[in-house]
Amino acid sequence: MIGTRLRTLLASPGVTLAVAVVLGWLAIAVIWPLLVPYGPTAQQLGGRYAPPSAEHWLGTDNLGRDVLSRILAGSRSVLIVGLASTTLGVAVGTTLGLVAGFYRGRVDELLMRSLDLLMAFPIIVIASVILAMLGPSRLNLVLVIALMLAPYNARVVRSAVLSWRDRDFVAAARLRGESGAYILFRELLPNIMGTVNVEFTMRLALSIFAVATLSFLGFGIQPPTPDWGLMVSEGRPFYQIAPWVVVAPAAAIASLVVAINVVAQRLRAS
Amino acid sequence: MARSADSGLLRYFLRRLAVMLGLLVLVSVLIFAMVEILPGDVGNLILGQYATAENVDLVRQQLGLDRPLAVRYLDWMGGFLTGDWGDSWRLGTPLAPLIGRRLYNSVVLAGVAFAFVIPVSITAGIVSALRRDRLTDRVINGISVVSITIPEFVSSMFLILFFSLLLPWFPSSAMVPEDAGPLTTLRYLALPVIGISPVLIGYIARTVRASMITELGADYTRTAYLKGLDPRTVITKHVLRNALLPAITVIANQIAWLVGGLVVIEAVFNYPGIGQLLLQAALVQDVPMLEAIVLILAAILMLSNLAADLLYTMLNPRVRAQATGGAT
Repeated sequence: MIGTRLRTLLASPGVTLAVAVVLGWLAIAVIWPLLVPYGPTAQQLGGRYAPPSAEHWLGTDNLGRDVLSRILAGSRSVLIVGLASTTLGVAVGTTLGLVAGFYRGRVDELLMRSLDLLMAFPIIVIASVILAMLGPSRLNLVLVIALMLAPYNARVVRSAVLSWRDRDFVAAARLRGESGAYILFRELLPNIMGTVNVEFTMRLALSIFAVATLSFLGFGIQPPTPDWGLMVSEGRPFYQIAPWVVVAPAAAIASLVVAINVVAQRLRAS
Repeated sequence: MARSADSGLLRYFLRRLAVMLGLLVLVSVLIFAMVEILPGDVGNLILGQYATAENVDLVRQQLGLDRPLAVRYLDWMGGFLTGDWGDSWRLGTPLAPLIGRRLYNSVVLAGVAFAFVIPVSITAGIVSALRRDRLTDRVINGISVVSITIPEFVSSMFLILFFSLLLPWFPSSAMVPEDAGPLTTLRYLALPVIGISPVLIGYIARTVRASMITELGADYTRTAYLKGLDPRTVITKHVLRNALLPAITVIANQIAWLVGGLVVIEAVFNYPGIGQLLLQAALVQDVPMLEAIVLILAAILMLSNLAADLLYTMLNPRVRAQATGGAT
């Protein structure tokens, strides 16, 4: 099954490129300490605002830090927070969707109406309020984004469950006296795994969108940790004299989110 | 006949309004609970972390924070309904006029944004459905896939770099001068509006395309073609009418996204709107201001969803018959 998925993914050059970009950033996030020419937080006050050159491929920022090194190192925080929050959000959302779709009735009604209420709010607004009260930290960021992703995921999983819950194998499991949890996770979940995988990729793109935006707004990763969203906001005040400080992280974010989304669209279409 | 349909619609509307008000009360309790229960001590927040315990207690007393939670909630809600929204902890000034002014600015920005987004996205959706699977469709589809994924602050930074720094056409900050006429105002709002729109345009265009394709393949469309109507008439008189209905719901759903986008866009362009105010309140933990802004936003979002539902019901005879119990 993974083989056919891979083949559909590599069928078009655009999608192949997108897969390469995603894998490339993942690899960089793991091995960046071997790649960076300078320490990502090492300051060189003599060499501030240096334009791109052979020495500093992407120039230096307001503290004389090497932008390329910070970009490479910054891939780690965005991917860790993105992957962790998506995993948590999809796990919670899938469980809620399974419960709502399988049990129907009042449980379904109550769950879905509360999720509707949560979804009626702009993600960024709820996230800023919660993070303002909890304080910014990587863990809080993961929790808040997972909370925001779960309802969307639950809804999709629920409708996938609806088309399986009345099958004979579910009735058989019930007659065998299997527990609710067994039916949900052993009988129903394997059948909707395809949907869950596509959901994971789509939510990952949204999650990285949110991580970058919240860091840009000041609720995410805190300085001096290298982070793409944060780098854009740090570079914003002096973009006129050193545009490369803003361009590099902005392009990095764009490349990652677009690549993930192209892969997600392709998986959904197949 | 018409009269009974109208009264059915009115009943439907009143029922929905009642549900909405109930939800809004629930939301206000949630907002209040969320902000009050989450950690962060007010006394220390205002006096700094080295304040003595007595002074912290004094501040809590002055703010009335030593009273039970339920009493404080009722006091807050009562004030809210009578127009007394309390004072900002940080600025010490009444909230209502400040929030009102900022909200007005944001509504102006959002209005201009929608005036730009709706025609562009609907046209893109229609064109791409009519040219389905051809080059135009693929290009439009490619642009929408890309545009819904890029965070607003990223596209806005690129806009500023290109159209403010490289080509000095537009100001990079949206602080519209006091005495600006409509044209100058538009010039200041151009970049923020273009920055906030790609995600919205992407979603709406894709919905319009999908519903156009469904309607183009419907039986009534084939009948209209077969009875010899000119293609233009078929599309404008038959297909568009049905295809644009789902767009109303999507546009209403996008209002939530727009509000989130406003927070970001107003931060990027220093625009004095409600989003920027929310951000400032959140960063300094100005609790009364946060509560007031979130409640106002919740009310606006619910009202606009209700308005969209109502419009949809009025324009769609099938739904109308259902909602009003077949009174038509």
